Amino acid sequence: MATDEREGGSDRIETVEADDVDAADILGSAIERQEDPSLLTGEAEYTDDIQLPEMTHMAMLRSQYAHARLADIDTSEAEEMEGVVAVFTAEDLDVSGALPVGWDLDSLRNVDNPIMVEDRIRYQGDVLALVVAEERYQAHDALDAVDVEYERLEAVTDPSDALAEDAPVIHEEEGTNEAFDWDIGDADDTEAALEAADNVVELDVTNQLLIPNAIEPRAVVADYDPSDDLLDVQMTTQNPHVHRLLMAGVIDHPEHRMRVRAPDVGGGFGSKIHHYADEALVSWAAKQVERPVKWQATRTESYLTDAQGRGHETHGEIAVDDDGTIRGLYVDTKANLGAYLSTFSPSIPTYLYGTLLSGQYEIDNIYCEVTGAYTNVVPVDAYRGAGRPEASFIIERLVNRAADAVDMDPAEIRKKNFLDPDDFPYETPVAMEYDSGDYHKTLERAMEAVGYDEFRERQEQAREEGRYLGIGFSCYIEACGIAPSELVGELGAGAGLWESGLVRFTPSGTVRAMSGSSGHGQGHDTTFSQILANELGVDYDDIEVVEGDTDAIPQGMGTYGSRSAAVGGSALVESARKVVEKARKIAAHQLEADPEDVEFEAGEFQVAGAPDRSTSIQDVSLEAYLAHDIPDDMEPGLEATTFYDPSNFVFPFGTHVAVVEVDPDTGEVAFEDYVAVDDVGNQINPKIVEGQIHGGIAQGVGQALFEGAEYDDNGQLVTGSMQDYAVPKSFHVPEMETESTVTPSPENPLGVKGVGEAGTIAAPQAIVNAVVDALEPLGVDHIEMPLTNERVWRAAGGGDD
Amino acid sequence: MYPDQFEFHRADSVSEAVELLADNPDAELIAGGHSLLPTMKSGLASPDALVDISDLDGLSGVERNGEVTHLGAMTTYATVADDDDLWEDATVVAEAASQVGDRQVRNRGTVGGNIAHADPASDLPAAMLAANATVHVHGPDGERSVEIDDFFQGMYATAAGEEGVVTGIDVPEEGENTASAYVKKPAPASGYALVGVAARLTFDGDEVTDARIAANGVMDHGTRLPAAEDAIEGESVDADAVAVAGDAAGDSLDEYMVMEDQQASQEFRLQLLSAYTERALETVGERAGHM
Amino acid sequence: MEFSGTVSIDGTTTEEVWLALSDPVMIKQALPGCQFLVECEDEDPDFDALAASAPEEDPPTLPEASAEDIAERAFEEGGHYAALMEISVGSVSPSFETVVTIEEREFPRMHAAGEGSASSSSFEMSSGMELAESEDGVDVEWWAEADVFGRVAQMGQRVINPVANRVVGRFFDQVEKQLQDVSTDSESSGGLRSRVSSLF
Repeated sequence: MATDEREGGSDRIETVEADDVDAADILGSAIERQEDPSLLTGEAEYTDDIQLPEMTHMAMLRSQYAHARLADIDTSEAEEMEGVVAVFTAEDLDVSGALPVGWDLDSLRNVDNPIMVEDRIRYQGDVLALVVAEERYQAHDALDAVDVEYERLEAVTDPSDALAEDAPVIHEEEGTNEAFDWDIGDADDTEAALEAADNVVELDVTNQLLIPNAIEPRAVVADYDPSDDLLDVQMTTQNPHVHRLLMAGVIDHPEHRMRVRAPDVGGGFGSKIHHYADEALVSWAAKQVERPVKWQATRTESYLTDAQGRGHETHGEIAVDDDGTIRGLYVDTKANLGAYLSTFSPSIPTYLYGTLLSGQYEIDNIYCEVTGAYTNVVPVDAYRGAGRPEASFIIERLVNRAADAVDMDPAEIRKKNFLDPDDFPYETPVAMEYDSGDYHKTLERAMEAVGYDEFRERQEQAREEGRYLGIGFSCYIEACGIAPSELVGELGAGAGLWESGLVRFTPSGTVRAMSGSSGHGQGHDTTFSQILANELGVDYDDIEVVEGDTDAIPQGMGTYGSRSAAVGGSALVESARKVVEKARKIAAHQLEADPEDVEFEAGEFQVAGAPDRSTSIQDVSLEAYLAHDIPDDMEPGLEATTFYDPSNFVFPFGTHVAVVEVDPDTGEVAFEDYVAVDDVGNQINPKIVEGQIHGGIAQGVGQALFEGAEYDDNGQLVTGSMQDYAVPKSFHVPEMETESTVTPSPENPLGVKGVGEAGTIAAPQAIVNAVVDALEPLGVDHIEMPLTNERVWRAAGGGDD
Repeated sequence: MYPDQFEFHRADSVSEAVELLADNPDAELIAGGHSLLPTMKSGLASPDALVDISDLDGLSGVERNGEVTHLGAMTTYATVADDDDLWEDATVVAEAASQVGDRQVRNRGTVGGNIAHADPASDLPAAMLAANATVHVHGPDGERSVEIDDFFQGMYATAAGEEGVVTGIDVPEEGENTASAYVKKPAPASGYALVGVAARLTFDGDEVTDARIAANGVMDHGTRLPAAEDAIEGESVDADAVAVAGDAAGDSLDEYMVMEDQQASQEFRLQLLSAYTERALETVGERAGHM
Repeated sequence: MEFSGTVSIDGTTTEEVWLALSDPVMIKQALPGCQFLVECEDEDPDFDALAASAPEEDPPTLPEASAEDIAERAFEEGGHYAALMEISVGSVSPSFETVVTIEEREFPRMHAAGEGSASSSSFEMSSGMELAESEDGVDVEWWAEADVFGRVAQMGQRVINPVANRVVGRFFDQVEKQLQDVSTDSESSGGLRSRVSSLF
């Protein structure tokens, strides 16, 4: 039952209005977001709100079966129906029509990914036909009239089943469902370390498939002008330029005559990064019917098509000596890729996963092997955390098990193996070079906040009373702001991972800034304005941030992987600094001083030692555009563009602690406390940081206790809507105490580390560790996620089956 | 999502609604729409016609008539849940109404619609069974009253049948020596009752002289739990008796027909039934001041 | 989904039960929601035409009908039968165009497989039975497997199991009832039994 009043938790960060903050303090202030009024009052314009003259509506026929041959398809009846403008099948496609994959691996079996089915259906989201009609309802009614003859085939949904000898083969031309075979680390050294250690503890875990559930399902409005061959696409995207590049190739449309825009976008969590078949089909259809075409996915359609997350079956082994020293780690994962490769899917269970297995610890020997498997489920790709939650989960569970094996307190074993602040920069056995960190500090802060010692006493007492309390730690590290381009290129990326930022003064001294990032709820307008107000000494209100339009912005890479502050923000900082430098020269010229003697502070250029000889950056801007009196060798104008390519990832870290009470009779898990101490480097806007942590934890709670995409033996998605897939509600999420430490990143001018995914990466294992800790007296040492009441009840000894 | 085409009729009277239903066997009644519309929008249900009765006069409201509270069928859950007198007179019904869905659903859905629809996992059937309510039905043969014990017949099947309209529910006043409660274990995804137990106990001093205990979500319709009732009758509501009654809760149910789905297996559902029967009885005991 | 069970009928013989269960008319009447069940040529019949030509009233079954009538229309191994199944679950009432093929029919075993499709859902099922003499009469051991696809499976998980249980449960309840009628009748008349026996 919903409750309106909550108890506990930390004091929420108070917001302030931008007007009330001095320019000098704006960076780091919890100012209210400028995006919110329009979002909260219904003024925001989402893709489905867009109305164009002569607009038609599109609906797509998806498959009833997960694996089948398309024996015949008859659209004649649909074509005759009222309002139907056109019906198309694969036969009508006159373009390349195959989705590319954006990341290659040496062993990758790259398979065809056609945008419409010709003869083989591989998952329920595959498109069999599309209908364009005057009205939305007419389009959907017409779908029912399409007659399809299927020859159903046996399906397979689990990676280990798919890799077995007798499994049905999804891509016949490959002869196997093995998509790739990848490893990292040193196999021999690790094997030796495991053998030499006093103890080896093993654990098998499933990191279950998750459905992203952004609040706005995907949508596209495409408008084609045949007179100048211009294609204008507005869509739910986290990266308009990436979509433009990929889509142009898929439908054979010249990239320079294509515009992609992101209207307000209702969340993404990774699901709107990838280029999907349906998106390409909307644009292609617009070119066929020469009228605007709109498609809005329904929620259930989203469930059948949005790239799902996680999907790992993992066997882990940790070698630990009797004194608690971790000697080595071996991880073998079978990763579910789904029916086809999605845009970044080969990278998620490999480079975004294996490379994080060192966690916060000094572990000399690590070896990880990952086998990717094709199955008949929805293609799997990045979902908040993308590989790092899976890594963090397996290490933190193994470390807990190791603690049990050597009878050591779980906090103690962590402290014993942590890297120390002076170990940085630290190169791990799995190729990462950590930039900076203080892991002891966050763990100790968390333990203090949660009252650790006192908790253990209470736990004892509760056990005597027949009540089961538990505490779980999650000491996580993650890598975000994925970069640099050269490195990721070597690893197989089909794209560079820099970001663009253009800072442009207007003659009257206001600022327009374009970023290649693409916010979809994160508050970029606010944070980027804060950054620029600080760099340029310009009023926060005099800055307008523009994102999400390929016509207006230099090429950009988009928003995902917690990169927008670290990479996008840094690009803007660099451009701002270039602008200031140019302005300084103009000021110097006009103040008749040497640029080296001109100081810049709070928006004013001042000759050192002569405060009355000054000019504002706004005045300089006007001068720059008048060009009446600027240095001889200088061009008019005042703007700069930077394509910022960072030199390394950035590494946020922290400790989350969950305290729970478990009722073994009903399997119910209640939160007593949840503490998060996160270090995300410098914080541009603490309120936004707090919000990101909260949201991430909520999704982590979802994975730990409630969510999981389930398929039956025939590949039929049975958690097909929110009636059956349990997205956590507000009362499912615990009160959270959030704190932070600040260890600035040396990798970028802002010193930021990225915060978007931290909560999702940290939370699941904190909760699982806590529940297992609670039920330890009943002999429980592991429970698989989601920890539904029934699973917990059975683990605690309930039932016979 | 997109429902199939349908005709829409707004009935001017209950008799007209009954006629429309009789004329068109594929027609469905719509009141608050919060059970019907989800099935239509998900494409599962495709009635040819909807007969809207939400505006009919005289079918809405909570009224005390002597020792009975009359709930008009078109009364929303929210109205019922907000009625302080009903909390006194028939706690179990008000409590069940307050736990349906969420605020938005409670503002639109109706109590009559709930029991007429008779979803196996909805909340009112068990509460009405515990409260020993009477249901007024207007059918092709006119008006009649149906005892609640005869009303729920199967999954989505009630004594109102295909052509009857539920017009109101009479809920008897509990009286001084009677207390009741509804406790619910919601399924995390849907919010429907994985198990919901309603209990109404009448006391003579400490001793339970009459027990009506019923459950939602366990069988394919709201169901009395006679074994639990027998176990608690004649006892006082103490920890031991409650435990015995909880254990007995599933005894009189046909195990083969206990609901089993992704959310809970039969075995676990019966376990929850025991635990929540205990909770319901404890709550009643506390309310009666006996615990 | 998997189901199985045993139906026991007293005072009858396996031959009688075999005949009764071989009667498409009796099966049609026992299946909840079955609008018609008729033989068809192939696996892809025209359901509209079949619906139009389906008889208004069912011909009589046992015990009224003669054993010869039954034998004439009895299920045949390899035969295809079309049925229109209207499953009714409250306001949800999908209509499945179903085709059943008798995979095996050899006394005392019968095994059938079928597929049904509605507008955006479908199911596949497989079912079999084996008759055995019991102390008092006949035991019919039966099993059924069903897979559901499409919209009903995606959206209706909450009710699929109970609905399937109900369909299967009601079917065998009806079968049992019909067979009891047959057995009662033949006990009193004795004639049916001897007529049935002579057909074997």
